Amino acid sequence: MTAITHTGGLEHKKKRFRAARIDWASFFGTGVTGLATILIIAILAVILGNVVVNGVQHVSWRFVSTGTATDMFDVNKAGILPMIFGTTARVILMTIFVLPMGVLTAIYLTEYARIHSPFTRVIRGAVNNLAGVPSIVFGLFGAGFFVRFIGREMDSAFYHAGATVWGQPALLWASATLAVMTLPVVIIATEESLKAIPQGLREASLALGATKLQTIIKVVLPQAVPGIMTGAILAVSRAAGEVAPILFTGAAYYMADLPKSLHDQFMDLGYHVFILSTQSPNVDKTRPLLYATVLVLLCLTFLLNIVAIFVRANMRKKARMLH
Amino acid sequence: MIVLMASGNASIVSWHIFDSTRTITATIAAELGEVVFGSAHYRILFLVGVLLFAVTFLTNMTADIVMNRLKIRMEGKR
Repeated sequence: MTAITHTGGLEHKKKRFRAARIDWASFFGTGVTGLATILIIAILAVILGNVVVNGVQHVSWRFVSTGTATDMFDVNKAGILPMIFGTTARVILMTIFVLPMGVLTAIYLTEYARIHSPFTRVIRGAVNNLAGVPSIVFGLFGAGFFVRFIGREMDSAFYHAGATVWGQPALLWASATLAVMTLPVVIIATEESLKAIPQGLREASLALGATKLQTIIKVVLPQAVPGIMTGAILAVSRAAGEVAPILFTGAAYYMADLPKSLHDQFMDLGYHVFILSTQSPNVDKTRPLLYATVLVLLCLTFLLNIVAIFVRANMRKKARMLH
Repeated sequence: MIVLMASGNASIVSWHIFDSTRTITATIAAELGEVVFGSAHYRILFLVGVLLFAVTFLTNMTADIVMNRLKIRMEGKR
């Protein structure tokens, strides 16, 4: 920045110094922007460091491989296997729901719809708005629509009167709610990757006699797979940390067993962190457990991300071989 | 969820920034689990949710329109 490099005589040095002095604005600009960047890295480092330092000593194999039988607020007795299972299950189910829907919508928007028609603009605005809706509103929507409406209707249609099988918070409804929430992420990422594919590729395929559908399936989609996977990764990392949407659509305070079917409730890592921090009878005793649980949640999110990134790299390699 | 844990969750009206407060998000999150389905309380919570949605929707819409105008101005009229 303003550092004076080694110089010859004193006279020369003075000159250099004067020259450097003018550069205050540049120094200031670099300093302030650099400081802001360093601050952000520092915040991340402090959060991660705090969690790792306080949590790592309490994470043991027993902790992550057993459920809680006696006291879920005691670090020596509690286990979090059901929560790890619940979080993983809901994220994987959500990915299964959201990918086809999001990709199909993105294909319609880029390949079929006219770009500047008012209809397309409305859809695009709706997608953008969907991305900005607070997650608790999705929770309300899930509880009102999936659980109360679809669930109850399914019960009255398929089971004898008074039975409650689907009309209650369940793994399926929590995943569906999360899928609705992460839909815009997948749509936008897929759309970007579809737009990046050169128009000439499509025209070449059409010129060789392929139909539009064949072009999309055989030429466009294979090229777009890395972008779609990026959308899936973003969706997974957003969904894994969200608690509000599953609060009323599936997360349970405590369950003795793992969920056995799609209409069972489940325990969730994020919700468990919330319970530990607000419902504990002994805050000091629960704190190590809290840190350990948060550390596991962080690791699980990273793990899910890494798996998705590996899948994407693999797909990319395959897509390159097509050329 | 963040605000539910960090805001103090006290349903009082105060302009003092060090007092505990309660947000719409926190209200819904804390109360929906305990209400009777179909009761007045349940409906009010949905109304509050709709209000929150309306506010965010309008904000997003405004931002979207402003962005669009800026884009048109910077890229030149199409």
